[in-house]
Amino acid sequence: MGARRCDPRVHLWLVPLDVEPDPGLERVLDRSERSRRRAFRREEDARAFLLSHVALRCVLGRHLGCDPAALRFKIAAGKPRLDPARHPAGPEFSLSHTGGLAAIAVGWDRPVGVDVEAIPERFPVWDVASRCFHERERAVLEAEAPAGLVPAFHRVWCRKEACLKATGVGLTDRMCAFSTVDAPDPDGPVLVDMAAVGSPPVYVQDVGLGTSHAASLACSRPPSGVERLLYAW
Amino acid sequence: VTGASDDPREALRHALAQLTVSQRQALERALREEPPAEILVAAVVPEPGAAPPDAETIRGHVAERLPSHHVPSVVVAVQELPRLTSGKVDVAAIAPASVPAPSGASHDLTPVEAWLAEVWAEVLGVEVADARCDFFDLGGTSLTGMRMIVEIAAVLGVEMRLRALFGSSRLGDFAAVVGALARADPSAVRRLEVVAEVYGLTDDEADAGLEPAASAEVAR
Repeated sequence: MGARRCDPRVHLWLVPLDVEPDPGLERVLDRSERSRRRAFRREEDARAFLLSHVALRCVLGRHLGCDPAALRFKIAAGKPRLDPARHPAGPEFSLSHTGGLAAIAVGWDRPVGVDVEAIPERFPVWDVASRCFHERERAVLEAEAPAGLVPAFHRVWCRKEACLKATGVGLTDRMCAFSTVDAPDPDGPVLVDMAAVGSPPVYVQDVGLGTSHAASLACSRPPSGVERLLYAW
Repeated sequence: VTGASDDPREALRHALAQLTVSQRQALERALREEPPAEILVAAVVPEPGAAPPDAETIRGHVAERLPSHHVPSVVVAVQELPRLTSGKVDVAAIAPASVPAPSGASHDLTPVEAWLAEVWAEVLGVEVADARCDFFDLGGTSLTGMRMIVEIAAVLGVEMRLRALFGSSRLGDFAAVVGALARADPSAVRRLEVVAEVYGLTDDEADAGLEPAASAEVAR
């Protein structure tokens, strides 16, 4: 079930968050995660945090063949990573959660970034796009029919955030400086030039999740295949 | 004992609320001096089930082992050190966490905070009634954060950096950053005054809404 070391594929786990958590699940989290979980005002946010972080630990624990509760994380080069002192051969990963769904990307030998967003009915598309999107990305939105505008905005946002997470740049005030819509092959990954935000290029591709969510996956090298997996509680 | 003096003004502001009037006045005097006084606040996590040790015991204990500038002026007991999303100790949150908030208590919002609270509530879909509310604890994400920043920047007619939110994600702190940003631009000051008038009841309160910006600018 687990990916082999140096598996060139990227694993993408989709984790349903609309389940009632088992009361014992919190034991999998460390003190910092438990404290963070308790800080959420809304129960739904606390539950989404609990479930997505438990799922992340279980996925990584299974890949590494170790107890999920024993994993140690560390912020390094702009993103959370497995602590290299404890897990020297640990994979790269990325976690995103929103509106009832989490996505976890795992890449053995390459940095990965994933973003998932629930698509709302209404959204101030142009307010955010005018500030955060590249002109070619705005041109893509302008070509959309009105009914497709909000989903198209969220697809582009997910691409951008996935790229920023893969590179460790993180959310930046220079989001409009790179474009994620210049695909030579409409079905293949888009090569995104990230030089404007001081980063090497990344490959990004959409993850189809129907009409309710948008999601994208970015990798520092083109994945030879993305294996989609459904997380079963 | 964990020293919590990364931002003494911030930690002290919260800790002050728990001190006696005379303690508070002495510390406030110290804080007004130049160069700014450094005041060490210690947050103490008692062993589970044990009573929190009193401040004098802690100070005596530290004084026996460390140079005098390591002896905390203020000691607060907390059940667990609060942490930010990043995992770092949330220095600003240590003091309030030690005192259970009176039921139904909410710090009165300044007019600017009241305006921002309304924007946050709209973006996040949750009521924001307290200056201590944290954007990310309320369920904020990078996308909702960006949406909120864009709206604030549009009203004030200024450029606003996303970093402003990540560094100051509590409503009160964020309002101070917004105030400081507006003060750098005369037309933004006027716009913020209009907002403050709309959200404030009196001119005095509107002025008070701008006041934190002055100290925030010094502190940051």
